Amino acid sequence: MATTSLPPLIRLGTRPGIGEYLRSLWVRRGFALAIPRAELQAQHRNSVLGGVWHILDPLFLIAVYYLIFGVMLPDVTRGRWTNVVGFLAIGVFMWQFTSKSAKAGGKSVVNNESLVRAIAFPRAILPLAAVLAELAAFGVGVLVMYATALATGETLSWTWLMVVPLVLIQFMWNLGLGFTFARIAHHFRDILQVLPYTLRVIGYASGVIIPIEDRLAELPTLRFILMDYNPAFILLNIARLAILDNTVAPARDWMILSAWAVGTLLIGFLFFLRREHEYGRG
Amino acid sequence: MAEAGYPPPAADEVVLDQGVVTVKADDVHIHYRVDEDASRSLRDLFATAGRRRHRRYVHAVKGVSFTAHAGEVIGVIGSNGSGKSSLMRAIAGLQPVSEGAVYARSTPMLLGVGAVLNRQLSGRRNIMLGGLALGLTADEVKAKESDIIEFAGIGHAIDRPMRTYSAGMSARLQFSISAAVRPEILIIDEALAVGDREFKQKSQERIQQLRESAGTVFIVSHGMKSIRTNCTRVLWIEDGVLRADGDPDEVTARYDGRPPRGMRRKKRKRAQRRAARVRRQRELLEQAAAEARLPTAATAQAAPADAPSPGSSDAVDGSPSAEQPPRADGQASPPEVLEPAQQSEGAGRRA
Repeated sequence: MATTSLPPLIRLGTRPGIGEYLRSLWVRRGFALAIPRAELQAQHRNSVLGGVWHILDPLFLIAVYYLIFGVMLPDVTRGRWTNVVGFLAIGVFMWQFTSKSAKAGGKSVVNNESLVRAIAFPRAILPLAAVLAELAAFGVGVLVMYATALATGETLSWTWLMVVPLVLIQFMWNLGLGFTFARIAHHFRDILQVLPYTLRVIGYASGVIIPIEDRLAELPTLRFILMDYNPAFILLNIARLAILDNTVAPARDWMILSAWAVGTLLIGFLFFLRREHEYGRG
Repeated sequence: MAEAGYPPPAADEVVLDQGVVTVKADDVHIHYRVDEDASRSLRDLFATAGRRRHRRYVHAVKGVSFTAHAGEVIGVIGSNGSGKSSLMRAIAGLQPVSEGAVYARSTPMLLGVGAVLNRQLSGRRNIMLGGLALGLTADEVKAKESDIIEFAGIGHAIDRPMRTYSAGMSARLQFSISAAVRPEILIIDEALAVGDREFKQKSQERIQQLRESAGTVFIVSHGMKSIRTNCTRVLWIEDGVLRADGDPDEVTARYDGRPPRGMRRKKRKRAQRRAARVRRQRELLEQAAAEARLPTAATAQAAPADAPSPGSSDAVDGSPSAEQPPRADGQASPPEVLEPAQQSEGAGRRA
């Protein structure tokens, strides 16, 4: 007929292939970046100090932990690391990036229901944007981490730069967690209530505020689970070695962490995608 | 704007004499699985036996087919829970169809109430977010920003957080954002009811523009008057079934002629008289047309242009009322397809 030059009718509501989906994500990259910017802007809009709270919040947390574990219970933090404040700063900042990403990613779809109901866009944008917002906030956190280390007498070294690739690997891991919890929260919203405590326990068990190396020396099974193959512990250890010891962690640690990150991201993304069409109609 | 990347294309091209096909619904069924107890609590999780009991399946849309063309403004009417919103969400790609298929030339855009992006942020920031969400680039949004603000007409409030907006103000801003994207296929869900008279006028003009730029507009509304003034065609969905498809005046008259639901007798009587008058006039015209050997579809179109007097049309507006005229008696009519001549006539009447 005469209308052959027109674009064809496309069938709606069918599940796109992965490549197609990734392309549609790329098309909306501006949107994915605008959400975190808007969120960071909105988060502290009603407080006097505004965005400064992104830095003040973990600093207060470090102060509280130092008061409890450095001053009141010094035996608890005594161990391999002598700079207690530096040790706590790295643990708290790094772990907060992961735990906040998991929580924000988990909330991202169920909390944006009105948007999801109103506009058709690839839903993976939402967890992605949530974790990107945390990455942006953590960018400032890394600088505070460096400042804390310098203030407590550590010397600046090129090994500090290892934190940059480390954070990129951590970002992949966090994104995978965000996708996973976003879908779980869609089926079962209560996970969002349980998640903060679960993450806190995992953090404590992975040496965020209490050094676990010496304590696990005599316990091979726990050592295997909590140190040798635990991504959280490996992550913190690489960062502490780089900043507090000025050494680069062994390649084995980097490889295990990368495997965790890539695996979590792939599985989490596919897990999230399988219910793509359902989100917003919980 | 038209990105064919999401969702993916399928090879199905239908061209009819009426013009370019923009949306085609082919025997669309929509089933919902709903939890009667909406909250998913721990109790539900553990009481696995109870979990199944709470599930129910709702057959919201039961085999609807229609074909929409460029330049049509299609009103979608039906009582609450009739499945019209589900159908529109399926067309917008927001709701998977259980059986059948929806085809469209570009991703249709649904403009509903409540698509606030971020209530903490200013209207201006929300324009950017909304535009990006709808698939524009940041530069495109910036270029359109002043147009959107002017069209919304909410003045300095644009720099205030949207949580300070009234319902009407945020509805105006949302309509402005969506209309600025100039989608080929726009679905408006009850949005026209919110603005004041001046804004209604403006939004009608914008719908007209979209239509003239060879777009298709769907309007879901309970306001029969706005349906009659804006639309060139009406789909009447009842209980998940397409009950009528055709000329706005005719279909809305039949819709108004449904059995009354606890309304006052006076109003009912008035509506009854009006329905009878319309019927009489239409019969006369049909008779005349038959004598003049004209196709009946054209008479049906011509009739309403002069049939209802303005006063009586106001009286019945917006409330499903009156006794049924015999011809509307619960029977689904076969879908009627508009001829091109009728479309242009419809356009001329409003221009």
